[in-house]
This record gives sequence, structure tokens and C-alpha cells, in this order.
Amino acid sequence: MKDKKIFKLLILFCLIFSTSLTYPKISKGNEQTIEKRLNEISNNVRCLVCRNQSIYDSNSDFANDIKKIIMIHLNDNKSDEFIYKFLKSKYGEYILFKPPFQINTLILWILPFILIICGLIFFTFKFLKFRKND
Amino acid sequence: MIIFAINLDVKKEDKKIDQLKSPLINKNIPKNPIRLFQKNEIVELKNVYNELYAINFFASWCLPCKIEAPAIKLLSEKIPVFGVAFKDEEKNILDFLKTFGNPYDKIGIDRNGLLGIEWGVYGIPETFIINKKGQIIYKYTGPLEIDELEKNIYDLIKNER
Amino acid sequence: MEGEIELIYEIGHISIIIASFLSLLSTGVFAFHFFREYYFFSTLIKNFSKIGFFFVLISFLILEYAFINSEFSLDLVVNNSHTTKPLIYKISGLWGNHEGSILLWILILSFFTYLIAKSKSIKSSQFHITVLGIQNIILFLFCIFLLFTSNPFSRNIDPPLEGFGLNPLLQDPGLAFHPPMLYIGYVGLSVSFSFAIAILLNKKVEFDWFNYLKPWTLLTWAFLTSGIALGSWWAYYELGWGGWWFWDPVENASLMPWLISTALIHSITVTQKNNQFYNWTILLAIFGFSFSLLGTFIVRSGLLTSVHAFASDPTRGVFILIILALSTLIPLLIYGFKNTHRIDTKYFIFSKETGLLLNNIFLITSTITILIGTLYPLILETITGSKISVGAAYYNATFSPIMIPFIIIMAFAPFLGWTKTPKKSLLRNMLIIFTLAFVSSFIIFKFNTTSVFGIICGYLSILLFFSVGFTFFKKLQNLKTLPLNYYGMLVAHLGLAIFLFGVTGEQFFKKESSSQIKINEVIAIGDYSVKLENVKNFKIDNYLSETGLFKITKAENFVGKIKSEQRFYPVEKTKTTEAGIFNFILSDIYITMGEGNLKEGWVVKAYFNPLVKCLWFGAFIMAIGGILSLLSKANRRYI
Repeated sequence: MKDKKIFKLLILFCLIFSTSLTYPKISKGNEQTIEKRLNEISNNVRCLVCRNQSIYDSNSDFANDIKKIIMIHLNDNKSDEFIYKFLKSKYGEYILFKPPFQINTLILWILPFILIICGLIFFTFKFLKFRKND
Repeated sequence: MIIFAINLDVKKEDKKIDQLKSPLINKNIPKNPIRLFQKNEIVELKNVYNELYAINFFASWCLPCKIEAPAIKLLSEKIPVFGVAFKDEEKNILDFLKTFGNPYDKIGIDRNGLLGIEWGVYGIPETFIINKKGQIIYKYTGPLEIDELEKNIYDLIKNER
Repeated sequence: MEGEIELIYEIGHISIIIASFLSLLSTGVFAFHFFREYYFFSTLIKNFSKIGFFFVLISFLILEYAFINSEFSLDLVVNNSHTTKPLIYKISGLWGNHEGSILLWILILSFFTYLIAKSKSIKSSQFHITVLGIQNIILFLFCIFLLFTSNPFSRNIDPPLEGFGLNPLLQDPGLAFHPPMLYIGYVGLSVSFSFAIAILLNKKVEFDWFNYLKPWTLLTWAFLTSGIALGSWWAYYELGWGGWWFWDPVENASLMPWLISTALIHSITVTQKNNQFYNWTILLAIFGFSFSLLGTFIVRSGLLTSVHAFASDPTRGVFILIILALSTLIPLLIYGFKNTHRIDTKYFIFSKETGLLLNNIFLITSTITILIGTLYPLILETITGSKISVGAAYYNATFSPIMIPFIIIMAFAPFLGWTKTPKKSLLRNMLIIFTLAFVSSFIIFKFNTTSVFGIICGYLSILLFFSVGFTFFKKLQNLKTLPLNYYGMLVAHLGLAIFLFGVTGEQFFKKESSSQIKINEVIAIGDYSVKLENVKNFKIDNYLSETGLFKITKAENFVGKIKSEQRFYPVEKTKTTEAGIFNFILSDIYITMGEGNLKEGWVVKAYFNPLVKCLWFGAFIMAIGGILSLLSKANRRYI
């Protein structure tokens, strides 16, 4: 009896919440202007002559030069991935603020989710044990 | 905890300038052609040299470039050094070469800095050494020091010959 | 005459030496008592602690005196001050550097120790002595750290005539208060730490130690919140890049203790109510202090690239590393051996305890996530030598998703009862607020964004808002009888809702544009037009300025005038950008002018940041919530 109610509750909750996801107009890509793309990409590229700033934030010569080359590529209809790859090929992984998803960064990316899963498992065990003693 | 300790020990050794490992090492040089200074010529480096050589990005407005002049001179006595004037103007370049000497075999010019980006330059001066096969085998960011020449470069040159 | 004046600075120096001896003596008293349990030691250690504080205070005031008088025979003053600096910045210059900030740390630490020594409300003498003992150990370690590696009183035989000035970026009222507030937060965590260790070492004492822990943790939390918010606000209006959080290692270093102390506050509440979460509370108190030390270490060691970092020196790093290791490993060992407290889980699945358990899990997970993100580049570089960067993209992919279920649970937690909850009322309450939030976000946001995250963030902030409002509404009848700390809780949660609302606006609805414009040309941002009316150059105080004067209009109607400037400080040879901010009630238009000239014009960037004020307003409200709780009778009697 109790379980059924909980189950119904969860379903109801999911339904309500999921309807909220249907209403936004999610249109990406085509409507993004070159300027917007420049800003977005610049935010993800590190200024190598600054102390921990992106080239978007920095006004240094280096930052401005990189922005120039990004603009050239953007005007040439190149994709975001191409530009990131290009910068990575010249300066190394360090210039990109998003750490790569590869073997030596697997722990970096996966660990947060492993932690959550561990937390939830711990949580479940606590209650299974309690149920047994109930 | 342990990793902190190791890293601290590593940093304690005096590292003058943080060298960022370049992904271009052991790759072919960028194909971009370079305009020569004061000549109406555009060259491709692979057609100019087929031996061990160095390329040095410099500018008249760059203070460390003035400091590294003696080291570059020494380097030029071992292998030809191709200079690239980075975001600089003709008159200033001439003045610079007059004051600090011209160790360069040939000089190219990179007006807008875009050539530098192709080479992964972020803070001049930067010096590269290229082998006979046209691959970059060494990169140094910052003013080249005689110390560095003696410690690494001379051996490198000997091994590659 | 000169000899006398010079002597005073040596007194300052000696003062700290005396203070460190006193703390050493206190430690001795503590250790000795531990083996002998003589009760007169209690008075002894309290007096040592109190007197120690006065010596630290003398030292601090003397150093401040040196700064105010531009006493350049002190190296520290030379490096961080200048005769032309306004008085308030001479004063705040004391803590704008490594050595001075450590002295500030010590001052706050000894002040808190003094307060604890003075406290008449701790009923167990044993416990009292232990807490003071541990505080003094920490104090002693920091004092010798100061004296041996970071002495602010180091003298110069040949004083220069002028100092090297303080970084112009730091000459700002917001920034003057940001370090002291943060340090109060960090040091407050040492108090929780001491309390936790004290109870581990004094198992035989039957004592409601956690009640004493709460006010201190609330204080810590409120100040950390304000300190972080102040830093973020300062960065926004002062640094000229329009951002408020960069996931910079130093920012992360302050966020982590904040998350832990939030978890700690909630944990203590459960322990107070039902004696559950005992182990959580102790462990969180221990790790809270570890994170606060870690924060100090990261900032000062030079291991991580950051805009904030102080001048780095490996020896200092090693020292703090040792303190950090000791303060984490030893307590864990003590915990492992001495903690025999086993409590049966006495609550059902639909209860506040569960909600708070999940709260702890989420907060701790997010803290560790930030820790990994911050340290990973360092670890990777040490092991493999390759350098990577971990920036906002990483945290948005890992930290933000964790926060979503967290906020949802936070929203319906008030409707959970302690131990168990009647399902029907829970269901009804949840449905009410979820629907209200759904409808309101529909109306408010009008889907002007292309981001799913934006919608979710906005929805969650409104959900939380309704949760607080609804809870308040249900208690309307008993308003007068509600304890102050209940209000504190509501206010703090409300603060978070406002903050999230600000995040939604600023992150997902902002508009930006940039272009190169000459005088009398216009740049458009949203519905507004910004015209560059004039550019002036002049000299003020200690800098040269190139100021652009802008007029903002909306559809031909005048809205306002602001200016943005590029400043050049000749002494420090630095350039700064001062943004022009036109304030609406909650949002603003943010304009920065870059370099340029009459011929080609100037590069102007304009941003429209909706709801941006909510960020700091929300944080401020959170801090007030914390203070309200602190001032409630329930907590005041335990100070």
C-alpha cells in the first residue's frame, strides 16, 4: 500500500516536471551569430600570458591575436571543434579550459559521478537495513 | 598530500621561465610561407634549408630580445638562424639590428602575428630548432640563455649532425 | 628621538614572540592536564589565552601604526604602501599581502580563543581546557610560521624614501573588507575543529558539546558567505571583465569550506534534535578546518596559477602543508581509535533526517568535485608532466548537475517532519509548490533563452522561493512564538533562492555586444542605445585616465549617463579598466571601454546583465539569515 502511493507520487512528480521541459524553444547553432560564437569560444580559451584569465577577459596582445585568428576561422565557416583542435595543435591542451576527455583525465570526469552513485548506494543501504529491522 | 610535497620539491629547483611543452615537437614545421624582410620575396622554409637550423621570433619592442642577443649570436655560429620580426616595423627592426647586431642568416617578417600563432608562439622571444627532415625538435620560450645553450642545445646539435 | 621610534617596531616583533610563548605554555598546560587532570590548570590556561590575545593585538596595532606612518624601515611597509595612498588603504594595506594577512589570521584566531577562554557557559572544565589547548596548538603553529617564514616586522637598515605602492586594483573599499571577513570565516572553522577534537578526547564527559558548536559555525558560515560575496561583487565592478565567478583556484578554495560549513550547520541541527548524525558532525568539523587550511595553502604556495595568488615561496608552502597534514591525519587517527559512538538510525525514509542526509551527501560530493577540479592539473603535471586546464566548462558539467537534485530536495525538505512524515500532507505540499513554481516561471521567463539549463535554473529558484514562502505562510498564526533561528533558516534559504534567481538572469538571459565606435557613434545593447559622447584625458591622484562619457537611451528616451575609463598608474606601471555601470533596480548595463584613438575609435563592450544584483543581494540575505540564527536565544546562551 505504502509503496504504491510512493510510486504514484514519483510518477506524478516526473510528469509535472517533464512538461516544463517541453515548453522552451531550444534552437541552437544556426541562430548563433559569429560574434556570439567568438565570445563563447574565447571564454573557453586560456590567455597564456595572463594569470588565469580567458582570452575573452583579457586585453593583452596575445589575447587579441588569438581572437583575430578565431575570427578568421569563423568567417571561413569553420566549426567550433575545428578551432579548438587548431589551438590545441599549436599550444597544447593547456590552452583550453575544458579538460579533454581522455585516458589520463578519466578520473577527473568520472569521479564526481562515481561519488554521487556511492552516496546514493550508501543511502539506499541505510534504508534497506532499517527496513529489515523494522 | 604526497603529491603536493613532490610538486613543491620540483618547483624549488630554480625554473626561470615556465616552459610550456609544445605539441609541435617532432612534427613538421608549419607550411605557411614567410615574407622576407626588405625583399619582395615569399619563401617556404623547407626550400631554404635542408640542414639543421634555428628560427628565432624577435621584435625591437621586446626587452628580453635585447638581452638574448649574445646567446643568439653564439647559436648562429653553430647553425644558421632564421629571424622572424614579430609585429614590428621596418625602421625599428633596422635600428634594433644595428644596435644589437644581426646574427641572422635571413630575416622574415610577421606583421600581424598570425605566423607566430601557427608556430605556437605566445611570448617572444621564442627559438625553435629544426632538423634536416624539417621537423621541429626543440623549442625555447623566453630569452635564450648561454646556460641553456651549453646545457642542452650544443649537445642536441651534435647529436643531430 | 629616532632610537625611541625605532624601538616600537621591535616591540611589535617581540609581542608576537611573547604571544607564541604564551600559546606554547597553554599547550603545555593542556598536555599536562591531560595526564594529570588538575583543575587549577583551567584558570591558568584561560589566563594565558586571554593575555596572549592582548599581545597579538599589540603587535597588530603596532604594525598598523607603521603602515599609517609610512614607516619604510619595515620591509613590509615598503613593499605594500606609498605615501600618496589614501589613509584607509594604508590601513587595509596591512592585510593585502602574505605576511600581514597571516598576522590578521593570528589576531582573529587569538581573539576567538580569548572569547572561548572568557566563556562562562561551558559547563565541563575538562572540555573547556581541551578546546583551549587545541586552539593554542594551532595558534602556536601559526605564530612560529609567521616568525620564521613570514615575518612582517623584518627591518631594513637603510630605509628607502618611498614605498613601492599597493596594486591599484586593491585600492578599493570592497576589497578592504573582503579578506577580514573571509578570515573570520576560515578561523571560525578552527573553533569547530577544536570542539570536535575536544569531544573525541573527552569521551567520558557527558556533554551537549554540539550546542556550543552551533553559534560558532553560524558565525563562520555568515562571514564566509559575506566574504565570498564581497569578493565576487568587487571583481564584478572593479576588474572590468563583467564576470563574477571564474572557478579560479583561490575562489574554489573559499567555496569548499563554505559548502562544508553549510553541511556542518545542518548536521549539528540534526544532532541537536535527535542525537543523530553524530559522526557526520564530527567529521565535517574536522574536514572543514582542513579545507580552510587547504585554502590558505593554495593561495600562498605558488603551486597554482591564479590572479589572486600572493608571492610564492616554497618554504612557506611546505610549512602549511605540514600543518595541514597534521591537522587532518592526527584527528582522523583520534577519530578512528577513540570514536566508539554508535547510534542506531532512528528515522524513517520520509523524514527531515533523510533530507538532511541527502543534503550532506550532495554538499560533500560537490565539495570533492571542486577539489578534484582544482587539484587535478597539479596532480597530472606532477605525474605525467602534461599541463591541462580545468575551467568553467568542467564545473558546469559536474557541479551544476549535482546542484539540481540538491535544490529540489531543499525545496520540499521543510515539509518533511522530524523522524517521520504523514505522506498525504507531504504530497499535497509538494504538488502545491511545484505547480505554483511551474506557472510562475512560465510567466516570468517567457522562454527568452535557448538553454535548457537556464529554464531549469530559473524554475528551481522560483521553486525554492515558493517553498520558503509557503512554509512561512503556514506558520502565520504562530509568528510571534517562532524562535529567531527559525526565521534565520527561512531568511537564509530565501537568500539562496534570490541568488539562484540572479544566476538565472545573469547567466542565461544576458546580452552582450561589442564594436569599435568613434565619438558620437552608437552601440546597441538589447533595447538600449549607448552613444559615446566624448573622451577626456586627465590626471588625478596617482593615475592618468582616459575616460569615455556615454549616454544611454531607450527608444529616444533618456535613460542615463555613465563613464568608463582606462587608467594608468605610473608608479606600479599597471593599467586598469574601470567599467561604467548603470544600475537599474535589479539589473544593470555594464560598459567597458578599451584602448583606442580619435581616428579609429575605441573598442567598446556593452553588456546587459539582468537580475545581476540578486546575486549579491541573495548572498547578503543568506548571511543575515545566519546572523539572525546566531542571535537567537537558543544559540546565544552557548557562546
